[in-house]
Amino acid sequence: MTAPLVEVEQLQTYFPIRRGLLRRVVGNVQAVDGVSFSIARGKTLGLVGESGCGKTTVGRSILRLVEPTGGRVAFDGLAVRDLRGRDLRNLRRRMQVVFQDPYGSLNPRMTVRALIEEGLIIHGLGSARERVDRVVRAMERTGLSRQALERYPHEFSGGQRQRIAIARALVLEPDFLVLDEPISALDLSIQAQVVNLLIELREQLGLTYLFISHDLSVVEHVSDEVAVMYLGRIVERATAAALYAQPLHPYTLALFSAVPTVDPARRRRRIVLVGDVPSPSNPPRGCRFHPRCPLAESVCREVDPPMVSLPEHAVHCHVAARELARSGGNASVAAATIAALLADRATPPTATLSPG
Amino acid sequence: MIERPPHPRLSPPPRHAPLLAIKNLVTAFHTPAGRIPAVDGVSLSIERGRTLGIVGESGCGKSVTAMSVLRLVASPGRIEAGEILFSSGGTTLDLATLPEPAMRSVRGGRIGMIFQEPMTSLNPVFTVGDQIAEAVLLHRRVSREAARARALEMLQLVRLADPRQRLDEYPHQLSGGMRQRVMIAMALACDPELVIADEPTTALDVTIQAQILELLSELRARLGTAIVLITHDLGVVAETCDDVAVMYAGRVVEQAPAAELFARPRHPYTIGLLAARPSPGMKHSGPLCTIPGMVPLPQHFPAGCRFHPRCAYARLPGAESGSGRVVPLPAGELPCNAAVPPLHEVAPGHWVRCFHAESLGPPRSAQEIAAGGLFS
Amino acid sequence: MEGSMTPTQPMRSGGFWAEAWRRYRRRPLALAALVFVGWLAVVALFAPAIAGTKPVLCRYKGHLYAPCLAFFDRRLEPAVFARDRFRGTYPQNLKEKDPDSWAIWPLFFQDPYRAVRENEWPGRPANPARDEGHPSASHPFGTDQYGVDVLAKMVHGTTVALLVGFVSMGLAGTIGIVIGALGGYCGGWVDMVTSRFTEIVMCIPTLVLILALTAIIEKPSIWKTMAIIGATGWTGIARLTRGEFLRLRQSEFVMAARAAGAGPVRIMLRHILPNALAPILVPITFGIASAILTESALSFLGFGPPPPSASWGSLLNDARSNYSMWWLVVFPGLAIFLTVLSYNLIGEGLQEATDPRLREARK
Repeated sequence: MTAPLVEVEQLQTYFPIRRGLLRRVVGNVQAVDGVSFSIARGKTLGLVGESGCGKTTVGRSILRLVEPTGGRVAFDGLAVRDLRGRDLRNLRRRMQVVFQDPYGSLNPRMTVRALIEEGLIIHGLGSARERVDRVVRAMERTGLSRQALERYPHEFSGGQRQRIAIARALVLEPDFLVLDEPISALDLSIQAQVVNLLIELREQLGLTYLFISHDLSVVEHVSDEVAVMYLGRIVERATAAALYAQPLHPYTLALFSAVPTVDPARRRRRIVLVGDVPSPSNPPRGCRFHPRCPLAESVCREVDPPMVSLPEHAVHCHVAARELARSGGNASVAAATIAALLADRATPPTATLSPG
Repeated sequence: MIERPPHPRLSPPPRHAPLLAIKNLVTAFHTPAGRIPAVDGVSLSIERGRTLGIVGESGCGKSVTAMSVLRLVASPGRIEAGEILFSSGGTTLDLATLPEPAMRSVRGGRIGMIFQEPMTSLNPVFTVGDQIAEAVLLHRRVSREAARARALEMLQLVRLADPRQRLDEYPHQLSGGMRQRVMIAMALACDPELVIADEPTTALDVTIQAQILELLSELRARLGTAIVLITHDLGVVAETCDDVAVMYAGRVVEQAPAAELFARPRHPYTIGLLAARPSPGMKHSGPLCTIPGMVPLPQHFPAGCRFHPRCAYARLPGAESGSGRVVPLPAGELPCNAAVPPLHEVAPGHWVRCFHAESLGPPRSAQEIAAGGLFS
Repeated sequence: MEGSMTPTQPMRSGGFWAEAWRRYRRRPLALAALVFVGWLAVVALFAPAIAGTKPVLCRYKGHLYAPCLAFFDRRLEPAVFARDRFRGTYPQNLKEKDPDSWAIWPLFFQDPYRAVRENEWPGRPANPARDEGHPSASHPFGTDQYGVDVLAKMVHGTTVALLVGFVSMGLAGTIGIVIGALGGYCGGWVDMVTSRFTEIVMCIPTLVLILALTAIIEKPSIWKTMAIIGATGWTGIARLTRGEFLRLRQSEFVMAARAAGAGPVRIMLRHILPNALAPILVPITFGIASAILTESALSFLGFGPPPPSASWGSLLNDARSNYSMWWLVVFPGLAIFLTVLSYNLIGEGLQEATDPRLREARK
């Protein structure tokens, strides 16, 4: 067991809502509210959740691209939130980011070479010739040819642009990459190419990833550990194998069941959640999932559920806690019970969907 | 009533009278850079009360096909050839040549449309009720009150919470899922026989997507409306559609009933797409199967079979060496980069546009492909 | 795994500006406007060689001189000609004082600041003055009430017309971009202060302000007029720059630059400004047109640079007191009209060539 490279404790990022002429703060969007996790060196944490759950803000808060309002972030023992000026810049060399939209994240007025080289110039690394060598090396790692050096981003397809963005992140030889929905904007047949590339690079270079995505099956494929977020909080965290085999939180179950699949054997009974995700500026009291949860009880409306921890699994849910206690900590028994309860209570599908 | 296609074995024969039959549709865009054939000889048919899924990646022509049916292809796009036969109320109309005024009564009246982005397709300055009532008034001779009553009825039908109150709300006051329900209510307000849904759930989260797909299936069962569902998500198609057409580079490459297609895909592109998705239990079995190369742009579609530059089974003449997959062509066999393979039937109702569909070995299931990896 | 990838799209294009130029070239009117302005620049640059009374180049007493440069600045007139009492008339004096001399004369022997006297050019009569100065073969655009040739005045006035546009909008562009960029990028109280300041300047009617300032200023000159036009004309540019910076600050490529460790100056200059420049250039081009109009209006009202500076606007001013001399109105008016129209056409062409929506449609 190696020491964690990234440790996040009770991370909180609120965005003030300002109104009126004097721009007074009238409330907060609680984008991230008390998120904790750690990622061991060389491992990948997958962060899944629906839009607005705060997963992107978690990634940006760790990189200090948005300023967290509370909590602690440690990177290789450094307190990230206390760094200023030169120290912060040095840290940024070691943690890099790949964004979702390969169209928006590459400056259209810069050539591929200028885009990738920029980090080296900022950090004053190498002479002009060494820089070009490093740029070419990073490009070759991501499967781009040298001929692309003096071209502009608009000459490339989405998949190739994402390769450029990955090369830009790699050229500084970072330890840690935040991958913010890196494949969501790509065509299906291209997604697998980029996923394979990311895994290959992780293995070759010993990289650590925070893999943010709403695509559950890709997250499972890429990650060692997976955390599920809902409305600014992590509701469940487990090793990928444990989470997908025995989801304990009702939201995780609903999420899994909602993903359409081509494989009839794998098709779960769909649990259709009622209603929409509440606004993060005014989250519900108690468990944040309770207004949509088919298993909600009176305690869920009042009390924020504490974390229940098993060796490979952690969950924030009153019902799961009770079932785990009842089964003596046997996650698979508890998961089966919760699944059965949900199937019982959730809105039954009104029409059969089996194709003719 | 139904014309036989010129080559009876080259397009799926109708089982019942199809509601909509697209025959050899060609829609091209004329730009300063040249003619871009976004849809190039597509034939499809949809029967009453059934759901047809059209899947494909960006630029494959699936949306342009749908827009051609409604004749909403934006300039400089033009329908250049083909027929779009719509059988409605005992008559058959060719939508490709129907005069514009008649077309307007078809749009929103007999054919409803649901778009991907419900925020931009609803007018922000009118209330939800006004917009649905407007859609009714365009096609029905009814009073304002009756139209408004119909709007309320529709909102109840799509199971929007508090429908009476929603009637007087503006689109920005609704969430994405609620807006999509309103779009569906609008599309169904005039009892259309066909609804075209272009990526109706792409902008939505999975749990909301589940709600909308559930609703669409339920409404189809209740109202008997035929649905054309355009999407890039194979899972959505597998779970909601009766028939599936897979498009690649402006052409239909495979068409079959959904259960058949996903159990026994025959076109190398379909096989590759299904294999490229990570499956459970595959985590430690190495990298994902990939389709090499890139999706071609419409201005540079390759000759012959348009998938051949990315296809592991392509048979190319010896001159095309260097690709490492040169197979000596048996006498009489056509090279994939020269001849366009016809869409032909390999099993009842299962049509494939590939020279080698039969020689790809015994039909494999999606699970087998995912586990074994046809593509390396 | 597939091998190394190369772009397959053969639309091998240069950068953004090369693309924009390609689109701009497709518009014949905009292209013609650009050619016209380029031609004006050539005229301005070679004005003393086109119309003047001093040799472009001459050999006098064994030395080479270019007295025509005196039209740009009096101090450039070679001292030897003053010592030898030329008094500004070269053709006769050169011959008399050095029979071996030779000279290359301007295309058109006329002076923008004074009437040419009888026999100044061997065998040619004096310029007609007042109503008699109709356009004629020897004076295509006529002469003014003092007999000064209008064409010569206009050729030399080109410099003023072009400088007014470039200098005043250069100044306005600089102020506008700096203020807008600071407000848009920094946000918060900086934005509050710069935005309010912009709005206050915007509220002041420009022409009235300029008239007030010119009334106060001692010794008006063309440079001071340009400075005043520039110092009041930046508000629209500042607002547009602010909007562009505000928008681009949120873009992912700026986020990516921050993640790479780039500081605010680098982000503003290297990442945001190049992307914001195209939309900002459009109002600057329109601004040049309106600056030329403003200068003409000021000169017409008599608040322009004092004579003998030859601006097109001051020619119009002369016409005010000489109603019967229609040529004093028509030719300078046409020149102003064509120049302003050209800048507007260029601005429009630039807008079309760099419009992001059109760029999207190309994809």
